[in-house]
Amino acid sequence: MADDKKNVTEVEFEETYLSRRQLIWRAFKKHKLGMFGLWVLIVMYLIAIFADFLSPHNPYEQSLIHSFAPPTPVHVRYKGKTVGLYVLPSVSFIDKFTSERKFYEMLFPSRIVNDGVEYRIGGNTAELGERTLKFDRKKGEEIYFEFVIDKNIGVKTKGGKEYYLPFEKEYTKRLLIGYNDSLLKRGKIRVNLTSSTAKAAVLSNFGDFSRRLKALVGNEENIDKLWLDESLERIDVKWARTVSKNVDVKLFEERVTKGAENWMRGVLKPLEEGKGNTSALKEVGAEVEKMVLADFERSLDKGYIDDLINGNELAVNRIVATSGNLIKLGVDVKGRLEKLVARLSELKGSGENVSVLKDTIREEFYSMEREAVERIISGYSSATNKKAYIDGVISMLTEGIRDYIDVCNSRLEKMVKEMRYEEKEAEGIIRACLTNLMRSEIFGSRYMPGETMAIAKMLVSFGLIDDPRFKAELEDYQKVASLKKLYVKLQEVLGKVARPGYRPSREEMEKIEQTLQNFVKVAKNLKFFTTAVNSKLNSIVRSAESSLRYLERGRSVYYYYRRILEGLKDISSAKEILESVAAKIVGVGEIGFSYPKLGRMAFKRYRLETVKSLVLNGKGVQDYDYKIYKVRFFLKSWEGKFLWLFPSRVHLFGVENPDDNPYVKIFIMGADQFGRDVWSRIVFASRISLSIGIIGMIITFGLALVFGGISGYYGGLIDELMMRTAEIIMSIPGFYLLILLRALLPMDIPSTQIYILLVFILSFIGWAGTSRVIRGMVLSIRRREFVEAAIAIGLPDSKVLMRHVLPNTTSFLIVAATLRIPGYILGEASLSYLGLGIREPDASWGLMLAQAQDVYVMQHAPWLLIPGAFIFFTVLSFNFVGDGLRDALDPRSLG
Amino acid sequence: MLKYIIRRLIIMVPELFVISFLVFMIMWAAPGDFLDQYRMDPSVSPQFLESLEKELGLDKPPIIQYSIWLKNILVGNFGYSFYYRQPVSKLIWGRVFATIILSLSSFFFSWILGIITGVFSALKKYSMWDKLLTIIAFSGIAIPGFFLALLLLYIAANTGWFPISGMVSIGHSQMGAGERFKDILWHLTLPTIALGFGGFATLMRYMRGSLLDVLNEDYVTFARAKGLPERKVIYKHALRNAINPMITFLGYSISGLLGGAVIIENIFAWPGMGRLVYQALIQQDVYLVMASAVISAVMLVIGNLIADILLAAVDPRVRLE
Repeated sequence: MADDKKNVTEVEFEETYLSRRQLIWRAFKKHKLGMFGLWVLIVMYLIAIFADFLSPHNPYEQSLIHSFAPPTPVHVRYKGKTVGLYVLPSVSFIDKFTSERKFYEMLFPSRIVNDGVEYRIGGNTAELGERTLKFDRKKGEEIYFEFVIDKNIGVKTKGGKEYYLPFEKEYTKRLLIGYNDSLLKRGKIRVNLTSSTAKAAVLSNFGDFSRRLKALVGNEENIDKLWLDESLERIDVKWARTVSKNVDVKLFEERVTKGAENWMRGVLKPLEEGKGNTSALKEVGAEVEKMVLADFERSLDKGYIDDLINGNELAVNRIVATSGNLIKLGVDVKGRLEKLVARLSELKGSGENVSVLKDTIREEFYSMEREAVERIISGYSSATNKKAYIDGVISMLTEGIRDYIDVCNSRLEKMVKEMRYEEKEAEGIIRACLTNLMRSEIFGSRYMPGETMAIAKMLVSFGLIDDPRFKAELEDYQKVASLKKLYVKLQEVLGKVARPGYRPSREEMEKIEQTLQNFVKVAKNLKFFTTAVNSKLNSIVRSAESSLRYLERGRSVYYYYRRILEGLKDISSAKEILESVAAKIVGVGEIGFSYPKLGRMAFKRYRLETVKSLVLNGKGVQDYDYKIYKVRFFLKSWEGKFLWLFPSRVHLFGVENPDDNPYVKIFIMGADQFGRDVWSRIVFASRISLSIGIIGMIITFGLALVFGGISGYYGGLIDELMMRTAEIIMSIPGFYLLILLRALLPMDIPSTQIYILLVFILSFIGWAGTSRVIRGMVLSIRRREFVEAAIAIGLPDSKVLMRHVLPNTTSFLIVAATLRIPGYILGEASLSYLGLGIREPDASWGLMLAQAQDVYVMQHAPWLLIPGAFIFFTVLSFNFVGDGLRDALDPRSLG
Repeated sequence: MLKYIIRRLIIMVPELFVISFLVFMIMWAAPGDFLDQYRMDPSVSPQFLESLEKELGLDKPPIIQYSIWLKNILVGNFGYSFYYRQPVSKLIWGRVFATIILSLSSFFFSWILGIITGVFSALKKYSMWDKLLTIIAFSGIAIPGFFLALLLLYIAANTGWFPISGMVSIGHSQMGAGERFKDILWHLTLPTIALGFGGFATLMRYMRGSLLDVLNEDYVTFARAKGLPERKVIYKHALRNAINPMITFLGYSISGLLGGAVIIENIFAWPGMGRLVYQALIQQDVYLVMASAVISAVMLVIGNLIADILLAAVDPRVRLE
């Protein structure tokens, strides 16, 4: 019986008929790589389809406090216990001065028991002993974690009433507590800052702060004076500007500069009379002076002048950073820099040599130093609590010194690290940079290559511009100045004769000739300015030479005079631009920081020890808690669209953030320059990259089928015409054609339109080659018997083509199409990379990679390269699948 | 043969004519023109603009502009670049050297390495080496050139083994001839790899496939059967036949020599034509674009022609008529 059954099944099996599709699938399954590719692609497409669901953050949402944040560390243990996945609030940015990436996790206290009193912060209330503060987040009320800030911010109303923004010493030392507007008005709650983290928290809300300030005095017109202690250093400029729009900027500046001076003068007296112990202060002062001066010396040696003159943003940062202590001590660095730059440009104009400029700068900074030390001393004598004052100054200075040491060390480190470049590369880089920056500054080129910025950064961090090796360049600068002088003279001379119809006398002619010759001589001596300027100069020299020739022939100089004037206008305007760039140093705020709200705050990792010592002043913490933010799955957060249609807040994973803390984010693949989640952007970008290939392929093959089919089927003249067209399109080099076609279309259009354009451009390029192959296949199929039979029956051409000829090309088409798709993905990526494709803020893989093209960004935020891996795996998978399909469709493998 | 070449060259003329016309029309149809950047500048007077427009010939209708350009090009004048204020031929000539160096080096890199590894991989079919090379080849095909370039740049920036941009070091002009050569070679390495890797991978795959096909042919079996040493079988019988299909590729490679490096040149700050042309395109520096497009098209057509001729030379079965 058993045998019988077996026989039966065997017979049945043998007679099982497998359809062609099943056969192909069976063959394909054997292809391991093909299957692997298929799986990868399935996953990729699923990712694209469920993009909203998979993104923990909105891909467009910027968060500047997380600029270049690395992948967020996820913790498991809290105070020794395993509590499940959680993250801490964090801050990240690239320090523009040292060009180092900084990343800090912060501890936000949620409960502190101190001296038997329990302080709780959380939810919508903050409890302070018996008092409970309620606040309503929707109304803009917030709880901060701020501690002592040793500076005052305040306003004075016209009625003479003074409002200090909200600090008072008694509370300052310990409490970190929230406030709301009504309490603020009553002057009961004082927010104070000591920790830099807390500073950042406040500063990042400065806009809000100034709003509160206004609320405090009720009406802007009531404000008589507004002040801000200079010690808010770098951010103050920005903030002052914000405020000064509403308040009187002059009053503000008065307070900052003159107010401080008056105060000093008042307190200088008792010191002069021999009251007070100044030796400790003097020691500190000497130490600071030494540090600061050493740093200045270094800076001077490493190209301060060119920084000042070229005046790029980094130079400004550097100056501000090096003079941080000075600002802290109330020295009017800004005003002095203003004067300095004015004087520098004066000196430049008069063609002084470099050492004079150097001395000027040095002198200026020495005198600033002296002023600073004086201020410390005088401040001491005026202080009511001398010990506190000394403590304050010392801590301030030591902090400053530590910052200096940090800065110096990191710079040194960096220099050592890049020493290998320094020898061989720096010079070339500087030259390239000079050329690039100058060109873009002077001629305002519309496209500035990405590397320029990288080069500029290197340039400054090497501090090498003022190297003897670049003597030629500096000399050229001076020659440009003397050229300008000659130009003035030339103008004078020519002004007399350059009238149409005027015939100059022999003497006049000789004078003109001489001046021109001088001019040419100087211009020809320029060894290096920039290639661009050189070419300009060359053309001027050429025209000057030719006018000399014409002069010899005694012709009118009028025309050539015009030419020279035009040429020189370029030079003089270049000079102007240079000068205006230098002047920019003065207007720090205009150049602006990229992270204005953070400035160059020194964030420190906020450890519990710090909490104890700083916040609670060593009085003993019995217990504490800090906030942790749990990582949850299927969490509700931002509103996305599930499957493009249904609004949904549920996401696969995310961080539970009940108090909407802006510092809490989870970036599994880091964040980009604007603090946007790279993973979320990758996920959304996959929609573009994955669909563009398929749509492009369909259009291409549609076109190719029509062209190739008709051409191959009918032959003759039609064939000849169509194929010549295809050939011409094929003989325009692909990438040029791509850019050309892109150039044909407007640049400033929304991404959706760009997407459609890209699809058509890419298909337009691709169809020619494919249609030729199809034509060839159609040609051979057409001669087959079954086609001839179909024609013989009298079927119309269209039917023969559609039913009999084209279906026979499917095997080829399927394989070719699969192998073609990567081309579109790469095409889109390249165009977007070049900035010609999808535009910000929309994302595409290529565009995301464009952010990483800056060497320094790349070094500090290598996770920006991840989108490249996605391109790679997608393309690889399409190739694998194509390969697998080719093997599977091969008749031999179908068995 | 000669007749065929002549015929192809004659066909080339109208083709180039149409291509240049197309490119010109596309440039013309693109919104705005070179002077746009001046128009936006309020300090430039309208009179100056007008005079510039006249000087650059932008006030004439496009057909006339084109015919002027065509007339000039017949006497070897490629026109004047708006942006650089220099003759186009001079500009291109200054850059073409760097591009040719880069293209040739990546060309040789991909061909030599591709053929050798392809043959190696075919001979060691299904071995560990073969699998490794296959993985490399697939990666090479799949990795976008600019991404590879970025990765190489990243490595270079972190290790300092290679320079990150440019073509020569600073002290280049003071070096001896040998050192100069070494210096350029040193700078050339990364761009070459970035540019040639894709080609290398493709060629390797093709060479491998082609050689495997040939090794299955009857005449190879016969050669073995008659007792020829394996070396002879492979290098004399199999390889010579396997290399034929590669010749077609050679033509394509030649045609791509000048045009293929735009992005790579951009990333490595290589002072070649690619960057020049890309910027010209963006700035709508018409004549510069035209000249480079024509040059590239000529290279393409000639490349195809060379491929056909080579194929006929290598494979006696192919006849050119």
